[in-house]
Amino acid sequence: MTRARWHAAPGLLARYASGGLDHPAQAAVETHLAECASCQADAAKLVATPRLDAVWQDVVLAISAPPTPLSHRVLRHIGVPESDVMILRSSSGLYRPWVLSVAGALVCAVLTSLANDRLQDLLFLMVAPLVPVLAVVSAYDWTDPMREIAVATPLSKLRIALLRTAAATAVAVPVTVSVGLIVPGIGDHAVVWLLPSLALTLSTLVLLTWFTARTAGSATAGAWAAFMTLLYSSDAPHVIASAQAQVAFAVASLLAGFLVLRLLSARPVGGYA
Amino acid sequence: MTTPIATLRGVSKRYGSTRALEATDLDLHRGVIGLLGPNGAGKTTLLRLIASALPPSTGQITVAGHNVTGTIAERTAARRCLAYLPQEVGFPRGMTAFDFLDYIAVLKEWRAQEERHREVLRVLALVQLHDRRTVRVSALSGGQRRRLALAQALMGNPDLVVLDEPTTGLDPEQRAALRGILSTAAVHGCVLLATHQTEDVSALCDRVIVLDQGRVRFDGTVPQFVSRASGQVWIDAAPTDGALSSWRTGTGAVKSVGGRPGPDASAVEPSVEDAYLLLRAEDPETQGAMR
Repeated sequence: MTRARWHAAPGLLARYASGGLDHPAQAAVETHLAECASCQADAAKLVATPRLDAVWQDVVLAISAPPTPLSHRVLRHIGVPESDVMILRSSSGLYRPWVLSVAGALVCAVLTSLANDRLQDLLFLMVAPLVPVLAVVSAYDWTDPMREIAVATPLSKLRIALLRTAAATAVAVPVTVSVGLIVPGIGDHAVVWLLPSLALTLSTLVLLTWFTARTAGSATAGAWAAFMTLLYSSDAPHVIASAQAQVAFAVASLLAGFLVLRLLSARPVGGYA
Repeated sequence: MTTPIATLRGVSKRYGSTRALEATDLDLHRGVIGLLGPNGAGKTTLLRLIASALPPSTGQITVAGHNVTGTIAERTAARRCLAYLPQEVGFPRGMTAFDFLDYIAVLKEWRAQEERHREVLRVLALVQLHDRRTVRVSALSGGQRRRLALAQALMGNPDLVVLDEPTTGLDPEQRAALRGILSTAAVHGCVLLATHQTEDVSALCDRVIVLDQGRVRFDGTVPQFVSRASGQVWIDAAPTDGALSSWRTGTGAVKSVGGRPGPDASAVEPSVEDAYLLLRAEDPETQGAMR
């Protein structure tokens, strides 16, 4: 600190201390205070303790909060509410459903690329719709170690459940579609599985309000596998791709979606609403 | 008598054919209430019911005038007035202490970030973890994790704080600090804590409830509870005949709870633990296990 050649007038310091100066004058006084110990001492006597405390608290707050990760800054930038970003941020266990989704899609790719033409359709249409189901089921099994605390909080459990579902399927769906597009011979079936998968995923969410994730996932997967095997034995797996079947899956999805909203708002995953 | 912060009317809980809690009526007022009982007595079930983490099989629960067992809107309103610390708390991987509390604050509907962060820092300071705020939860000690879990229950100064064995894993200094925090919280609200530490009850609680086999066996003030054991605790050179429990103390004398005192035995002031042992022994079904 160097010796200043002038000192701020008491009136000027008083207005500075009370926050009554405009920004240019405030900046000028602060520049002077940075190098004048005498004026610093005079100003310190004039600033009310509560104001100093408030400024200090703001400093502590600014340096205490950890930096927000880039992915969450991006989510906020595109308009996702901060509370939703926080819920996704807490779902660090989502990495596991994401890894399982990729693994499921890879298994699907390997099975279908090794199979003959007839079996290829069956395997792809049997496995692909279950990849998002696997992701959602694993999300509910592993992402909420704080379930016991979370259930006693007022935030809507439906919102949490749907956010997690969206986060889990955000990876599962694109990777499975990619498998359908990459593996030769899948053709139109690369997207045909999407509506059955939506219906299966929503049905699993309905089951999750009563059963554990493992039971709900197994029931859905078992029922779908049985259905597809029946179609295969009747030599009709292509029925899935027909317009009538797609409409039926769309209607089933709407019904299941309606049930999900009704049930999860009354009785969310894990039990009591 | 003031309006109770929480009420239970005919509340029971069944798990299949097992009855975990018999029909229970309770009024919980401001202050610290200790919940004692052996393992499997129904303490955790009772706490989870009051904390709205579990629906009752029968009966009605209200918290701050809101019916927990009513509509979702009512239950949500009740949850805005309560906080719950479970016996076991799972922490998400990779979170720092600050992140964990920040997330719980979001679940408790603290939407404004600055206000929320202020509250997180306040409770971190309260449990003396302010300097550990940027440390990952996985790197904290067991006691520090327990204090962190407790901090989330203190956020927003709720009317009702429900704590399941909050002092487990804490050293004596931390337990003393915790008593200070809880007694402060009880100035404006109700703190209900389940514990096996009878010294916590005698040091901290205004009221004690003893639960056994899903039934309330005692409900009253701590002095009333202790007075039940008056004249039944002895110091002598040898254990009294038929004592429920006896042990040699640091002075070499033998302290006995219950039984028939010998001619040289002298009665001593009973503790909460003595009263608890005697109460448990009154139930013929537990006598075998006590002796």
